[in-house]
Amino acid sequence: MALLLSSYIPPSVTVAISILARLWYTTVELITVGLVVLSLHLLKRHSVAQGTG
Amino acid sequence: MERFKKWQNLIQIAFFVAGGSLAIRVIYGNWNAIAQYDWRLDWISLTVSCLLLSTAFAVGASGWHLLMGSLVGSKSLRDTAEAWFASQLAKYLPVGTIWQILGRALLQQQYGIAKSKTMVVTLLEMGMYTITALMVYAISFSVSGNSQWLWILPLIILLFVVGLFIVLPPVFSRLLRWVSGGLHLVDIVVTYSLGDLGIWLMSYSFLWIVAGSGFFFLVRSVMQIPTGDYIALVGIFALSSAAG
Repeated sequence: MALLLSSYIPPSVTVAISILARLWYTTVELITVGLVVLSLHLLKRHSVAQGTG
Repeated sequence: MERFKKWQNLIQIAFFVAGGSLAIRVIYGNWNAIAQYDWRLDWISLTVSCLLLSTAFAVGASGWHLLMGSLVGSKSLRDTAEAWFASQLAKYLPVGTIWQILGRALLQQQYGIAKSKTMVVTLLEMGMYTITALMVYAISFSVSGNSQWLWILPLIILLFVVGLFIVLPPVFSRLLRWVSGGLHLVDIVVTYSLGDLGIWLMSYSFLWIVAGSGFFFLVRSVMQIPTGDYIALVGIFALSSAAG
C-alpha cells in the first residue's frame, strides 16, 4: 500500500498512513463485529424468551 | 499436511517479521519528516470513514448471504450474518484465516449446512474478494491515469481474467470435482448460473468502493488530499487489502 500511495501522498508519511489505515480498519472491524454479534445474540435470547425463536 | 502447515506458519512469521522490520526502518529513517508533517485531525472525515467501513462490513455479510443463498439455499439472513460476523473475530487469532474458515464452517453446521459446502462457499467468497479488488484497481488506475505504475496494469488484467475464468460455473464445478476426487473426498456439488456470478461480482465491487471510500476519508481526516485522488485511493485500498 505504501508504495502505491507514494504517488499521491508525501513519500515520507506513506508508511505511517498505511499503518494507521491498518489499525483503523481493525478497530472499526472489531467494534462493528462485536456490536453486531452482541445484538444478534440478544435478539435471539429475546426471541427464545418470547417463544418465537 | 502437518509439515505443510508448519512451513506455512514459518513463512507467515517470516513475512510478518520482514514487513514489520521494514516498516520500523522506514518510519525511523523518516521520523523527522513524519514529526514535522502538519498532521491535523478532522473529526467529520473520521466519522464518515468509520460509518463507511462499518457499512462495508454489512455489505460483506450480505455478500456472504447472497453466496449461501444461491449455493446452499440458506434463507435466513440472521443465521448467515451471525456466522459471518462471529467468524470475523477468529481472524485475529494466530493463523487466523484457518480459524476463520473452520469457525464459519462449524457455525453454519448448526443450521444444517455441511462443513465441506461452507468451505467451498468460503473459497468462492475469497475468489470474489480478489477478482473484484483486481477489477476495481484496474478501473480506478485507468481512470486516474497514473503513469508511474503503468507496468503493473497488464499483470492485474491477466490475474483478473484468470480469476474470472476459474470461477465460471462449468470451470469451477469441474475443478471442484477434480480436487475432491484427487483428495478422495465426498463429491461436493455446487451449482450456480452466470447471473448469480454477475450479482456476486457487483456486490463485492460495491464492497470495495464503500471500504475504499472509508479509506479515502481516513486519509482526509489526517492530511489534506485533493478530491481528485479519490478514485485512485479506492483502487489502492482494494488491491492492497486483497493482496494482504
